[in-house]
Amino acid sequence: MKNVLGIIIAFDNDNDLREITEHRTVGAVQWGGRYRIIDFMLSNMVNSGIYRVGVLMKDKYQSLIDHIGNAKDWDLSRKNSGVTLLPPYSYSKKASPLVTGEYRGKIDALAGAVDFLQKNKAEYVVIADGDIVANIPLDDVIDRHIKSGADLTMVCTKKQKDSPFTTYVELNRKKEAVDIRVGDSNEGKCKHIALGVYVMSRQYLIHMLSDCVTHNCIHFEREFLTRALIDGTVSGYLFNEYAVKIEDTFDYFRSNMDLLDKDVRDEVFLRNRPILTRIKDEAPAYYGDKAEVEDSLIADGCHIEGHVQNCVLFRDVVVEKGADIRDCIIMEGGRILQDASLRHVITDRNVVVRDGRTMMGHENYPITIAKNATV
Amino acid sequence: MYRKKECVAMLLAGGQGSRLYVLTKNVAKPAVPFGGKYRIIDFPLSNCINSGIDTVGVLTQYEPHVLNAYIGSGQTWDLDRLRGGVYVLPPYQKGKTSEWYKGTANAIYQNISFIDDYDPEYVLILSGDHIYKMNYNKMLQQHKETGADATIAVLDVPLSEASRFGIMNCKPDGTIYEFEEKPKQPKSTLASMGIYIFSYKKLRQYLIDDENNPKSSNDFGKDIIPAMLANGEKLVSYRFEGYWKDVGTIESLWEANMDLLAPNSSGLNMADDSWKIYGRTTGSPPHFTAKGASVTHTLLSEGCEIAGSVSESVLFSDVKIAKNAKVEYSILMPGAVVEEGATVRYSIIASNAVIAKGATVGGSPAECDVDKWGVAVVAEGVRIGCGATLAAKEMADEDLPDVK
Repeated sequence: MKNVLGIIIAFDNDNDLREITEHRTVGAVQWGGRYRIIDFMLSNMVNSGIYRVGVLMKDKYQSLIDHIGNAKDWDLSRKNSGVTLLPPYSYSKKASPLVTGEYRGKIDALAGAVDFLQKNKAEYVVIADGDIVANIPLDDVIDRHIKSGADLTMVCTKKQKDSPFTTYVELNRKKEAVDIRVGDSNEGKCKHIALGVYVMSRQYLIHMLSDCVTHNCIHFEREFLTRALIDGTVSGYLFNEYAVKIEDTFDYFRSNMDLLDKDVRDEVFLRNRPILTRIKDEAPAYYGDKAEVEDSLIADGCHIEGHVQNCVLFRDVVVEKGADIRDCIIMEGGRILQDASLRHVITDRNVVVRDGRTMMGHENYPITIAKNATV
Repeated sequence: MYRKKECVAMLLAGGQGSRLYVLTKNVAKPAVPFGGKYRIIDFPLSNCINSGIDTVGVLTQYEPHVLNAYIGSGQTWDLDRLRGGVYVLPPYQKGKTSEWYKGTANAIYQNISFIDDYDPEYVLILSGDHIYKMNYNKMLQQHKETGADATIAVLDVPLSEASRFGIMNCKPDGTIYEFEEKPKQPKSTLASMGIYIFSYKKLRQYLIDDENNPKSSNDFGKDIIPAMLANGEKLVSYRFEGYWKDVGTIESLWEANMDLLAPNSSGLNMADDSWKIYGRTTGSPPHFTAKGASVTHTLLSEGCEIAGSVSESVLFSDVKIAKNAKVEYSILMPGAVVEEGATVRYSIIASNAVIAKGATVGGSPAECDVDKWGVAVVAEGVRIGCGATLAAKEMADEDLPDVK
């Protein structure tokens, strides 16, 4: 196995999940019934043989630290490698001359940890955003990067939606980037988007960081990538399986609902590349005598007596008799009491919906109920 | 390193469990899956850690591979410790001799040096074939308070069943004056649960004496306990109240799983967080219940995909039940598959077994003679062919061909 260092960007850039990210970064948000979004990138790295992983954090990171713990659940509690948590102000200016103080973006964050990058002996670095849900074979991305001889390789997918934060990419036949633009696809000329996973050599990264910081460049996608494109070769790795970047509440809602499709589950959950997460030791889920469940993904520890349709239920959710929930996402510990009725609602952790309450959102605007709230 | 422990647990996990037939063909009984995501051994191991006992020797002999791999470092039960933790103890070669574990007492005798390393005051002897939640620390407290040489956990069983157990005849203060193995006319209904706490110094001497007695069968129930009683040692019973079941037979294993579906009446509640049972998880995604599926009164684990109809059942991880398939009163172990139109009733389907299209397995007790009825069993990896039938009480140890 090649000597590769993984770095996960575990702070919010342009993500806004309203109440859901009020107290935590997007990587620490629960997703898919039993996971946190960062589990995907941590698992991708471990499944690709990357056992040295730095996690760059900025703010609201307590939830993330609690989740990762000693990283044993990802097999990343190791003697000579494992996870290194990198909160802001990890290094002094003396030790790491590129430190700029408070992060303004990914470049500052990476530059702030340049000491970590320099001490590491890895040949290659994978930098990945922590807001991506996809089962990506990073080992294959690295192999292709080395074969292509490019300075930088980025994982690209087909354009899915337009957003002012999307990084659009125009690729030529050799899959080399011709143009990279943020927020605008140049009238559709850019047919791909960058997912937020980049491979390059460690030396190249350190060199580019120095170049960017000394010229006061802050924006990774606009400035770092553009410089790379002008001075060298940027290659695209086309990833055609299910992939989504969770940037807003709608992305969050839709991607969870996508899991109700077997084809999506088969692309995301692979037997030989499992998505690992923190073990919580719940009992199996229980369906009562009157339970009616259709098209739903349900985690261990749930107790269901009511009607559940098109829903994702996280661990330890209770749905009492007569309750009727459809098109909902109920995070861990949610309690939907007797005869309550919910449509297009996302409830954060430990929400209680009391007897007989009714709440309705819409497919295009799901209602979110904040953590620990009682309705 | 100084490693003294007040109490060390020794878990007897070497038995074959021959009355589980095909279910223990390749695994020791303690490794048999139970309750949707556990194995039998998770109960004593979790009881130990929940009781504050962090040093456990697991004595293995029969088909140990699955058990060894399952226990691993003990992290699952928080038993990966700097001092103590869980140790797998197979029989080993000694200076002049080497022999298998001849009996339960001999298994402990052969590991005296392991126990000596921890210099314990007390030794807790457990077996790996019972389903129960128990605080061993309370039993230890009583052992200390009464100043007993041995404390034996007992359960009040119905008089009609008492002759199936080892019965402890006690004085009103709980002191045991007589032990009768499976008495025809039981004098008491206090059955031994196979859980003992000994003061180690006493036990150590009795184990050595027992080993030097060529007539002994080297068994706790048959030899050690009677010898201690004969010598007038202080043996005290510890009354346990709560769910306890020996899952040594197909019927009892099936019943214990069914008991999980009625936690309030049976008293066995896995969802009770105050006494968690830990088990290794598979890392599968949450289970999926499809459109048109009907699932009632059932336990399901991660990775299941259900499109058919399921009631009164316990499904382990990654079980697949196709459209128009019907499953009732059954236990489906990890990775079992029930294909379209197949029917599974009153059965235990072992890991990765396949019930192919239109096959029928098991039957309800209402439909056949009471004597002929029993739980049907399909062994690990076995395929019941399309349209084939496996009647109630039958066991399939090899594939059944398709029936046209």
